[in-house]
Amino acid sequence: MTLEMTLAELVRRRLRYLPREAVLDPNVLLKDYGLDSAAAIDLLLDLEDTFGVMMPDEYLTSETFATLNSLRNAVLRLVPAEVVRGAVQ
Amino acid sequence: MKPLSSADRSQPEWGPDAAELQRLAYKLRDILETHAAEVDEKGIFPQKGLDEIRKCGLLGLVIEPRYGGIGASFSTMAEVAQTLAEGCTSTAMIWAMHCQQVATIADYAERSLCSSLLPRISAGELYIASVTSERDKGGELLTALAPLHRTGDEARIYRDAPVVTGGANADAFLITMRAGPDANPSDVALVFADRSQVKVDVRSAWRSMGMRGTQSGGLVLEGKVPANHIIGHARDFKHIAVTTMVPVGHIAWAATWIGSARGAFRRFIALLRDPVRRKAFPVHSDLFVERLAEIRLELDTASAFLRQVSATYDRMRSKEGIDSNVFASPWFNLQINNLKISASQLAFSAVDRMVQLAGLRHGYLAGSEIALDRVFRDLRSAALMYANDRLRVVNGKLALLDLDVRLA
Repeated sequence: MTLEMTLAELVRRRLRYLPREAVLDPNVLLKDYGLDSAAAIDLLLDLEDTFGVMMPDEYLTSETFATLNSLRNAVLRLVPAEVVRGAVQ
Repeated sequence: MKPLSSADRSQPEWGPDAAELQRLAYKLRDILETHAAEVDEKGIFPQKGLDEIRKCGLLGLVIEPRYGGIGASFSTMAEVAQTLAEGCTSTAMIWAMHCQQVATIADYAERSLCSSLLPRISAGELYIASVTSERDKGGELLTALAPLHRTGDEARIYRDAPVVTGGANADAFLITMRAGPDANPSDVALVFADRSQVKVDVRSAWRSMGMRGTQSGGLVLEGKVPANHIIGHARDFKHIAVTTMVPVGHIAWAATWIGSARGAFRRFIALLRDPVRRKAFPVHSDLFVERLAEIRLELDTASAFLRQVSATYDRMRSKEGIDSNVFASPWFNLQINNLKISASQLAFSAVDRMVQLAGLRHGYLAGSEIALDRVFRDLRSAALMYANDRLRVVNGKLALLDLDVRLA
C-alpha cells in the first residue's frame, strides 16, 4: 500500500456523504463529504494511531484537514519517512 | 519579579501584560510537580517548592508595590493558585493561605507594622500560617476561646491549635484570640506573631489521607508580642472576616482545588492524546468521550464561578473600599460560600470521574504517571475544610434574607 492509499482508507471512514463506490479525488474538499469538526477529531486520532505520533497544535487547522493532499503533506512533514513506510505496509 | 502596572491590576485574570507572571507560575508549577510525589509519599513539608516561591517574590503577590510586592488582584491570585496547584495541591494550599494572611495584614495592620512586615514578606523572608482552630470550638472562625492578656505595650499569647496548615514550618503566625480574659468568645482579636516571638511546641503529627505536604499538625504557641501586632483593633473582627479573610480564603481554597483537578485533567488528556499510551482507552467510543465531556463541564463550571466571584470581589474592593459594609450583605456572603461549596464538590467529582474513566491502572494505583490517586485524596479534604454542611446551614438562612435573589 502507498501512503495515499492508507490515507484514503482512513479518510473514507469519516466521510458520511461519500458514496461507497465513488473515487476520492485528492483535491476535493473533505468537508463537502461530511468531514465536520467532530469527524476531523476522529480522523486525527486515526492518523495518530496509524503513524504513532501526536499531531501538534499548529497542525490542528482546517487547512490541514481540507483535502487528502493537505493531509498527505502534513503527514510527510510530521512523520519520519521510515515510519511512514512502516505504517503503510 | 517586577510590580504590575496599575492597568494590570484591573485585569480580571492574568491580563496581557502579566505574561511574565504567567510564565513564572508555569515554571513553578513544573518544579512543584517534580516534588509532589515525594512530598505526598513521605508526608513532608514542601520546603524546596516553598523556597522557589520565596525566591521569585510570590510571597508578596498581593502586596502593594510600595511595600515591594507585585500588587496583583485577587483574580490574579486565583490564577496563580490554580497553576501552582496543578503541580502540587499541598504547596499551592500553603501559598494560597499565606496570601490570605498577607491580605488581612495589609488591609488592617497599623501602618508601623505594615512598614516593617510587608517588605520582609515581599522579599520572601516570611511565610505566614493561619491559626484559627481551637480544641474546644473546632474550625469556627468568628469565635475564639483562649484570651489575650494585655499588659502595657505588650500582649501575652498562649494558644493551643489542633490543626494549623503549614504551622510547623511557618516563619510567622496570624492568630485568632479572645480579646481578653473578660471578653466574650465572639469578641475576637487577631494577633500577628513572628516565630522568634513565640515558643512553638508541635503537639501532634499530621497523618492524613491527602494534603499530606501541608503538615497541618497541632501546635501550642506561647509568647509575647508588642501591642501593634494586634491587627485591626479599631474594627470588630466580623468586619475583617467578611471583608477580607473569608472572601480571600474561599477564593484561595477554590482556586487551589480547581487547579489541582485541572492539573489531573491536563495529565489525563496528555495521556489520551499520546497514540502509544492511549491504546488501553476507547477514545473512539461515544460513551467514553461523553464521560470526558462531563468532567470538562464540571471543571468549566467551577472555573467560571471562581472567575465571576473573584472579579466581583476585586471590583467591590476598588469601588467600595474595605470600609464599606457591602461585604456583609447576604447576597455577597452567599456567593462567597457557594464558591467554596461548589469548587470543593465539582473539583472532587471531576477527579472521581477521572478515576472511573482512567481505570484501575492509571486511576487507582499509587505512583501512576497522572497521579490521580494523590489528587483524589487531596481533594477529598475540600468538603471538610470549613465543612460544607456548616456553610449550607448558613447559606440557607442567608437565602431567606436576600429577597431580591441576587445571583452570582
